[in-house]
Amino acid sequence: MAVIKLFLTGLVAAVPIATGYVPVAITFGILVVGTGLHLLDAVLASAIVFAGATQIMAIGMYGGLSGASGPAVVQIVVAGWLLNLRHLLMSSVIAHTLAAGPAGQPRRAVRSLVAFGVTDEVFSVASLHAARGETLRPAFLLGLEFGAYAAWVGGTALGATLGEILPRDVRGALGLALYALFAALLAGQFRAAGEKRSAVPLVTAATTAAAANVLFRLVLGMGAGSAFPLAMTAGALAGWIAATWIHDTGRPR
Amino acid sequence: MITPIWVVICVALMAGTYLARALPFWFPRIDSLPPAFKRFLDGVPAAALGALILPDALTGAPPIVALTVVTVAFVLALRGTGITVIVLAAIVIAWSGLTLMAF
Repeated sequence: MAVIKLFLTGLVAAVPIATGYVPVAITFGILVVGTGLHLLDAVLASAIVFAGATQIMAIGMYGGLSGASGPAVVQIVVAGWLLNLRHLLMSSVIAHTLAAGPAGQPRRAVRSLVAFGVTDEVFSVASLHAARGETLRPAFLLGLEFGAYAAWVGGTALGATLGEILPRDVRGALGLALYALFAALLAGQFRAAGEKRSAVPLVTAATTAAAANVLFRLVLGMGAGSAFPLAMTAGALAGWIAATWIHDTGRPR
Repeated sequence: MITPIWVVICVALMAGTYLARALPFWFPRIDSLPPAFKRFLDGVPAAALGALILPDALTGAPPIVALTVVTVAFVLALRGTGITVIVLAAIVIAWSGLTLMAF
């Protein structure tokens, strides 16, 4: 019974995550259908990948590359993997916290299941609970993750359904909504950083990556798929340099 | 209906993403990652978004419409507006802009 109660507590804690996920998931669903793919393609992506930024990037690249050839597939996948490497950080924190709990290390099957649902938002809420001195239990995490997952997959299905009934000229406007979504997500990153110290590396990373991509694409004439992973890596390296500089010198306050 | 090439992309994305999520759970003795690697990874999402926005946002649609949509979305989000309102506002501005440009 205690396990069910913990799961439900997790589910309730997922409500703020779910309200954030649904509109993004709806947008993703609409975009997938707008690219010429089907409702099931959208739902499948959300159900197995369960990584918002990656899925939106993938559909953006898929649409931009106009049909997917072998190299295009590799480019999308490499970019997605690079973007998702950061899950290593979040998972290692959660894994350590779980193992340090009173019940000790959960079974491998339970850990493997908890791992599937780790996202930035799940990590934030879990960290918040841990910071309040609550012990993280697997059942709580599974409830939290299930709530987030259901909202993500459900929102995608809703969006894809909407996308199929939207008139054509509205779909044209949706292409631009994709970039509005990217801009909003980027601003959200800056906001979440809070103080200037943590925001500077992010701003550096974003502007460097954007400048590098413009250089690669418009000046050097590289293809979108090969330029993107390089630009992203250049940006992250610049962010790393900025973060290290701030860490070492203590500037800027 | 499903699109086979898209399914291939999704399965491959899932495999890499799941590995990044699960490895620390399977090998908890791996101690926390080096701070330098963490600082690199922290910047990856912002870098990805930067490169996703430019130059593509400005090359497909009329640049004046695209610039307006992206700037409004960015400023609204920076001020804490919810994502639903932002996306809806973007669609309305984009649709009105594109309709006006078509005349």
